[in-house]
Amino acid sequence: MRLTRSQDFWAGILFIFAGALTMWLARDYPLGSARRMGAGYYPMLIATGLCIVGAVLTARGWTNEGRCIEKGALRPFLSMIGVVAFALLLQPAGLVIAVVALMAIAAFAGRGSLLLETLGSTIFLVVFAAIVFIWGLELPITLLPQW
Amino acid sequence: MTVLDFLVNLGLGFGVATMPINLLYCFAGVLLGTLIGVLPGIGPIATIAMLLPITFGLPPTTALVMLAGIYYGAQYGGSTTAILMNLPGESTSAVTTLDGYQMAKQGRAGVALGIAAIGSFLGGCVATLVLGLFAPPLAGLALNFGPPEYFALMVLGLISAVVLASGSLVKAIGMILLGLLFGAVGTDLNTGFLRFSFGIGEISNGIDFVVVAIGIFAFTEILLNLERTETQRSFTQNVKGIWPSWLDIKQAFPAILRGTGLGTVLGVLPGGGALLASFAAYALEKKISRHPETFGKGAIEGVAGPETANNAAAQTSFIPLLTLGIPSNAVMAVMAGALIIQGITPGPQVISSHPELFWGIIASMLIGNLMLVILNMPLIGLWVKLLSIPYRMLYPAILLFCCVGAFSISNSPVAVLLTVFFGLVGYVCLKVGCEPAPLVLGFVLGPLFEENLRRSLLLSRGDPIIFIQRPISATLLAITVIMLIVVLAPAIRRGREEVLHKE
Repeated sequence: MRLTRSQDFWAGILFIFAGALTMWLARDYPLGSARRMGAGYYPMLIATGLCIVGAVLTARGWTNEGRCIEKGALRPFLSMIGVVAFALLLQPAGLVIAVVALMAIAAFAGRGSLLLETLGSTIFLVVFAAIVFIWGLELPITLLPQW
Repeated sequence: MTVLDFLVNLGLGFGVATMPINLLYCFAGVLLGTLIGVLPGIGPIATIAMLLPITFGLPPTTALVMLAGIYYGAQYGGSTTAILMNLPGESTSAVTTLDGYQMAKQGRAGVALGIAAIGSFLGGCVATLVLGLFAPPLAGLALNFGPPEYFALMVLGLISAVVLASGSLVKAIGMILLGLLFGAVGTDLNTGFLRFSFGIGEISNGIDFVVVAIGIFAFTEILLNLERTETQRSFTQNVKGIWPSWLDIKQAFPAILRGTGLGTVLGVLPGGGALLASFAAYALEKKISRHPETFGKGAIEGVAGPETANNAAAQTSFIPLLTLGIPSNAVMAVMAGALIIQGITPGPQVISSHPELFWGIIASMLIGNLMLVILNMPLIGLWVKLLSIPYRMLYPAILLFCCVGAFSISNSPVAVLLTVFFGLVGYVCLKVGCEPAPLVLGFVLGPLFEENLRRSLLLSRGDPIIFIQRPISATLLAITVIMLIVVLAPAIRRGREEVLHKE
């Protein structure tokens, strides 16, 4: 049996997964009745809908492959890692270090970043962010580490 | 409402819109809108989502004036890129590339830009007046709606949004359900029960809208853009002679009128909006033209029609939001989020309880459209220069803005991490061919949807027959069913795919 790359098939699997996960998470939520719904009634209803939609898509993708999933690349995800680094660094280490970390990691997410260019735009963005976010909008973040 | 009322209200609106702070933010909005409209790779949805936190501190009217300006400003900007670079700066300008770029190649770039700006201006102004004339009575009608009617209306809104949108219907429904589910996270309002909170304090009151919007639109877009190799952009002609000749105007004027009408109507439809309007306008122009063979070779009608229509639709797509509280497309979902943040629940009561907001926005749209024409003509040279900034320098800046935007909602790094999660959700969904826009619609409407479902069933003691016993809700649901049948009918399905695959 070959492994299908059908978009429909995998979309269906994902919807079923989301539905099933919801049902499992909400397994202990009070259901109530249609007349007086508990907290779990509505999520269960939606989750059932997700499973039905998922089943239809999976079946459709299995019998008729349709469009296939295009190959992705791993590099772009560095941009998200950069964001995570920013989020974790912002409060303990201050804006400057967080922005530098974001830029340094995100620069590798695309192709053809140039060192000088990245340095230049990092300096620009640090200054810009400091002016707009710290002095302009007065967000509770500091410029430099507080230790 | 009499004509006199309309004029009095419009006067009130102009009073509000011409306050210096509103003029300033209107200008900032349309300028920024044009800027991101010109730049491919960043759209109005991501921009508005990113800027939402900045609008926290502004008065509601000022905030909405600016955000609306970004939306219709982007429609202007998109045409510049389409005409000069054969690349849609905005998806709504995709069809403009067909004839606009050809005109540019023939040395008529200035004329194409000029006609696009004039058409956008006329379309935008007429559509704004339609918004002012028709929204108040419609809202009055909706004021009598009870929970079953609201529930039916939301079903209609959600389904028609996916029926008219591109892609697979089943997938879109799945995405709506997913959105409704994310909307259910947090404390259950009726019982106080905490749902799906995973012990994360930040989401005990629900996931913030900004997080979802930035993640799904901005981050997902960045991930996909980075995946594609950057294509070398070739362009920069000298743009000369922006003012079209009398002959050009005579040729384009009927197209502008038709584009205005079509855009105005299609904008109101749920799921309609600027994208659909531009495609429909191009198809219409080509169909009724006496020289259809000139299309794709620099026909001025092919620029005038769609560019007028997308701007007209951008204005009238506010009607469902401000009268019924139903966002008809993803941009309006973001606007709904902005209203909610400002403490205003979108719905029929907005016009009567916040007249200064509604009429202020209307008046600011007229002012903003004028600003755009004045702004665009002399600044085209600047926009052209802007286009030479490579994407590799843009995306880190966009990332940073998104990060700070997400952080500032609750001054917590958790929001930023959640945004990354939604970025990944959006990416995975697009990889398996699911458009993320319905998810956002579902997410925004989710709490209202659940609330009205529960209240209706409480009224009827748990019997779902209530939805077809009440005449208005029965009618709305019947329309929904008819729409579904029509779309699923094989003949129409084929036609729909044909239209949508031209993209």
